[in-house]
Amino acid sequence: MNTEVHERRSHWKVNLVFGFIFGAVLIAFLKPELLGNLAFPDLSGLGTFKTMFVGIVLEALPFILLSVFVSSLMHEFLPEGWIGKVIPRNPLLGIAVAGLLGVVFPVCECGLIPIVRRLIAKGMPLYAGIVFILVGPIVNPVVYGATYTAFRTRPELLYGRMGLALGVGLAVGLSVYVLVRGDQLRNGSRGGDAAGTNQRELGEPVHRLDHDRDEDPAHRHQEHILQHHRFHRDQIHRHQHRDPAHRPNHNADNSDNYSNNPSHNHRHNHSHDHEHSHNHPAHKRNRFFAVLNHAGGELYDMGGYLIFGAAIAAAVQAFLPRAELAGIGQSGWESHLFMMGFAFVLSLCSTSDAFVASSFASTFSAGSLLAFLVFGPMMNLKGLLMLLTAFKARFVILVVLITGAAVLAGSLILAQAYGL
Amino acid sequence: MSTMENKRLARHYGFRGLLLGGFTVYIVHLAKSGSLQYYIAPRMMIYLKLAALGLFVLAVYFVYEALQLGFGWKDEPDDCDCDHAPSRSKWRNLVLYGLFALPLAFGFALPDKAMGSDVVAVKGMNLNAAGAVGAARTSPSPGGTTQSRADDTATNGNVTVGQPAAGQADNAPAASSAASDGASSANGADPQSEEAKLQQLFPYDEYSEDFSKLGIRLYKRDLIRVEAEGFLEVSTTLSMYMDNFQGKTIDVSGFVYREPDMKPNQFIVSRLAMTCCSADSVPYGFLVESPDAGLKDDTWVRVTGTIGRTTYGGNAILRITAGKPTKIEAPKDPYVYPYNGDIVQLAK
Repeated sequence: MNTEVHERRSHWKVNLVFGFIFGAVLIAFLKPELLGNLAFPDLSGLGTFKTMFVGIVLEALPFILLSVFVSSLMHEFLPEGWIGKVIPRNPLLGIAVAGLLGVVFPVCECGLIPIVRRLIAKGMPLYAGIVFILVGPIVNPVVYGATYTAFRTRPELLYGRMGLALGVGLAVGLSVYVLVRGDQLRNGSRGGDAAGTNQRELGEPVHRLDHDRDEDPAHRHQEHILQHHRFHRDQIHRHQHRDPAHRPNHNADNSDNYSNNPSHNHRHNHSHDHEHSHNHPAHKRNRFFAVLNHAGGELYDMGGYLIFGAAIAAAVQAFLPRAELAGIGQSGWESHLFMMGFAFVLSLCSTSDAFVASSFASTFSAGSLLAFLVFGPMMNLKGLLMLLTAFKARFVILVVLITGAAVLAGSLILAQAYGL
Repeated sequence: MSTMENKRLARHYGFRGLLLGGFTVYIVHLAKSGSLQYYIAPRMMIYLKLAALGLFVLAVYFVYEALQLGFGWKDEPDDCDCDHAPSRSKWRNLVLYGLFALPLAFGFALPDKAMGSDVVAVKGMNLNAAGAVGAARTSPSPGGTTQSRADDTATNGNVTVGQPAAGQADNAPAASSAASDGASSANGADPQSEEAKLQQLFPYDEYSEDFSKLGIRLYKRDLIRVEAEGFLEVSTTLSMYMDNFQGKTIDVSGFVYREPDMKPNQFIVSRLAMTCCSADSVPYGFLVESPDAGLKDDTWVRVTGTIGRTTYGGNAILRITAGKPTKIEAPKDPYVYPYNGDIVQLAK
């Protein structure tokens, strides 16, 4: 068939290009002299880059892996709407609970984003989810201990960090509650769901099939899938395409699939929103594989952004001398802003950034360190890239702006009030 | 299910499995060769090893799935039928798999190397550990915390023996208990007054009490060894109460590092402190003045010398006046780590 021939050809090209680039990269590192002097003049810098890059990736790996497994288990096993019962309906109370969730679930932001994405899909209010993503990485026992160890003699920074994080979380949570309406998950849609509980799968576009609601619980899984695919062709459904800008071929492929190639329908690269009841004891084995499949897929969804962010952060670490940065500003709001930007590009884990901050204690004011300690775990390069996979870009920009403003204002006020 | 579609998925799953398998192999390789410590701190290693296990399970699953689909052993891809299906955009896939291959390419292609002078040059040397851990602000805070007093005395080093620190009265009960702590090792005929004198030498507030206790213990020695364990905390104590330690003998090991503007007889004996991973490492060190300072950067040396004080870059720092530094083997673990236990016990 037309599409298949086309597809095969394009994949050959992909493999060829990929192999070529990979080979070139290998040659460049193994035998740099082959590429002449212009390629990498400074190999010592490259060695530093490697150490930083591999270090950041290896350190984040356990957390992102844990997170995609937890997320996949929740996807498979958590009843719909469960989280809605746990988080109070009152927004203030909801924000407070979300802000303290980190105490029982101490994971940094690269571990939180896949989980919160799933929780929001399972009915967690958006504002609560955002507060969890922002505050969870700071207000938790692990970070409390690390900050205490790094600033043993300056508890005002420890309490300031915890307090300001909660304050900023409250500000952002309320802003989101007031300002933002509708579904903000990327590729997801909860808008059409009148009942408020959503049964949508995440991360991929939605084909909402209304028949799912009143589905017979005894429905057999396999049958269901088949039926589902039939419905796909026949039923009136609405689909949203995942980020067309990123997938130029997507629309074309799809229309092709639907109109010309019914046999192609089973797998396309978006999801079907349906609630085929997963609770068949006979399919335990399948569910185990489903969790693996899901976790692996999510790892590839998130991991790419994580590695990209890690590469940029490592480049900053390896090639940008800090002594020159330190001369920019040491007090006043410029230093607060500078330290926030610095925390953003460094993309450190919230468990270790206190020690890095402490190395700046003799050159920067405590207030600007506070801004560093609060803004960094909330917003940083690798976290921002991961947020963009989970949420719509406009919403992410809004959250970044509110968070930045709140941290800046909060840290300046605290600095003024307590003379930090 | 169309065969072509299955084959396409099989290729993707195969690729994914191989990449994740590559990560597993890389982590095991690092752990076996002992190079893992160049990238992450020991306390994080167990998590990474567990992660390698998880990656291995995923890799096996992906390869198994790829084989099943690729050879037509089954018709339906085994998944949750929902999302995360591989993209059809070739560029997207290229970038994605390229990104996953990148750490592996770097990992296997470039040698594993301990961070040294080149990293310090980028990150910037810290010569006053007290500025880091116990950070002293010289301007008294309007909030009026007791701490600023202790910090002031520590930083400026203006405290004279016998002048009681202002915050002292509140701390009297705690102080006497601290005193009895070290009383056994004190040789003074009148332990009571001896300890009281020490208390005044090492003023503290409720937050820096441990540093004061550690300082008193170190003060009772003629030779102060700065070991890898507790390097940060001992350095901090020495910097906080810099003036008390003038004239004492110090023994410290580290690698040689030089700033461009240093005198020819000066160098820094340095250690990198790592918390979680290489990216958060921070260099700390002591300025050494020695007639024989012509060692190359990154040479590991052991320095024994007399503690003094000087200013460098406008900050008061501790200086070691030493003879000839002894060259030593680079330690198996070149980094130091924040000490999580009771820091007073560091002066065993």
